[in-house]
Amino acid sequence: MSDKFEADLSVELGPLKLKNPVLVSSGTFGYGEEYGDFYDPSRLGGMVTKSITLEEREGNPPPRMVETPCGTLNSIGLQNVGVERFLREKLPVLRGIETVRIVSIAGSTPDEYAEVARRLDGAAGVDAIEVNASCPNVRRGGISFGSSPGQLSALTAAVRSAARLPLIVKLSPNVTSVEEIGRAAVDAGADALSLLNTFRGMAIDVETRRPLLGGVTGGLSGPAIKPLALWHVYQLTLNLDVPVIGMGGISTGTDALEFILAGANAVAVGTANFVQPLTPVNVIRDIEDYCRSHRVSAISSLVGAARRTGAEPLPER
Amino acid sequence: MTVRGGAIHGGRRDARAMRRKYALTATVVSRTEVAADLFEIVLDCPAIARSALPGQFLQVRGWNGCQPLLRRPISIAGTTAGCVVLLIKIVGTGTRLICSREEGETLELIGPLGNGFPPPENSARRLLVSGGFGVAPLLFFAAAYDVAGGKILYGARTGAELHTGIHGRLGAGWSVVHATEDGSTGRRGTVIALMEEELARDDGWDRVLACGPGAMLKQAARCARSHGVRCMVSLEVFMGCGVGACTACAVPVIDGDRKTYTRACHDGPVFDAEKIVWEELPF
Repeated sequence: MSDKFEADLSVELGPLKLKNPVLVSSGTFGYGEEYGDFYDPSRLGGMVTKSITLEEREGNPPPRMVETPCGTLNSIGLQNVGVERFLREKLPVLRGIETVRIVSIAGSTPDEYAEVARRLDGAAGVDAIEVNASCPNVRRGGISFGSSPGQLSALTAAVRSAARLPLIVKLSPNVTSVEEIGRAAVDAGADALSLLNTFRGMAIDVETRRPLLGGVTGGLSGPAIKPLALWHVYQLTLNLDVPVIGMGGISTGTDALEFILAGANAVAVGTANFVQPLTPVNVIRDIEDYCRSHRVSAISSLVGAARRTGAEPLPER
Repeated sequence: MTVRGGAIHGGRRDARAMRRKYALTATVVSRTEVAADLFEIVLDCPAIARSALPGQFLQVRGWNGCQPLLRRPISIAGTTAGCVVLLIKIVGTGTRLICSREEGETLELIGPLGNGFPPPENSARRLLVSGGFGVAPLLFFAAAYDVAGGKILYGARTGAELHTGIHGRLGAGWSVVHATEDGSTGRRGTVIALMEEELARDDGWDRVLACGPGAMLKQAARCARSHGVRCMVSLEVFMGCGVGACTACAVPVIDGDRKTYTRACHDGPVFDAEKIVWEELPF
């Protein structure tokens, strides 16, 4: 028996309209070139590029990644081609991908972020900016901006005034209160938030008695962090009315649905791209199947549904 | 030089089609333990077998779930009649799980990946230097190309670790010399000692191609340089994605007059030994 039921998978992320809620996260999808052999990236709801800085960066010394239980620790250190080469060499490819193209930006100072944003603003093929205020693997900038509400507020405001593009701020979990930091970003003009970047961690070689990563510490991602990230999405969206891209260990449709039910408007596949390149399209298919079998006419109706069932957590304070 | 049907057929092919990567599931046609903890696995996989080049690799997964998480990069050891041949040493959980897949079961593959060794020009003489399971991509090379004169120096710690059944696979013009550190098979000593002797004895080698443990490759590079012979190495590097997206497999190289990091999975795993900043690598 054929089933003609077709769910509306489109979602809104502040000013952005996505054809489906599945994106790929920054640093796991290059600039959109690497996965074209496996599927058409235009099938994605959106994609976030590797973070771009004002000048080219060579990144951290190897080893840059180690495998940990159900996850990886990475210390890439924002290796990227710099904004000018990005515009010249990478953007033309990106422009050909029919999805919401979000360019991640990073820098050592708010001025650097703002300058990168300024150069991206108005470039055809750039649909939004994601501010990486949460890279745990660089000495200056990165996570330091995302650790204090005051600094993140200033950074967000600087980028906001430099570009008219929709602005997403990616938060770090390595803080006392993600919610407080998120509020600062929203108050300073962020249209949406990405939750979360990696959890800071490390691994040590017992033979050499030295840290395994060239950058000493790294960021943990993969299935290992899924419950942690899911809680952060649930907690933040409970108290803050802002569109959220949820991520952290998503490798199946069920994982993605959990994030949506917790309160994410969209989700991003990250580390799972490395394990199975087809993960994002499999997740989209799984969500479609779920909607069909559960007679969900619009995926957006499920956003935050887990919060509406009386399962409110006990007050924290 | 002629090109053998098994490996590089079809003559010149469209460069873009050559770089096409596949993500697929392949059935294990056969699995044989050819030396201690060293398995030869033949996979039914025409798409990859058609375009694979010696020196390229696959990202392989032979388990479900997230432990271990990442695929394992495995050099292609040959192709035959729509199949890909892998030579896998059990070194940890991932490779153990891959090698436990039996005939009729499947493995998940991504590939072919990486750049591969440059093919030999006419009448070029190639000295292949391999340590342990590093013989895999060199075996593919020697099976793919007939040469005017080629030699494979193949070393391991003990004879039990040597895959001694490789002779029948090679193209015309190749010979094999074994070395073991305990002297149980072939010459006693390291493959580097053998290489040193060979380069001192015969100054007609055009190029050395080497694959094996990092420390061995570093020595091979130094040895080749001291004899003024160009050396290409296939580096074994920890990889995340294998397709160029994560930049975890960074290799420090000299690009013009500056040092930069390049991706082993995309720009390697075969590098000109003179371009590598060996001091920065952890061996």
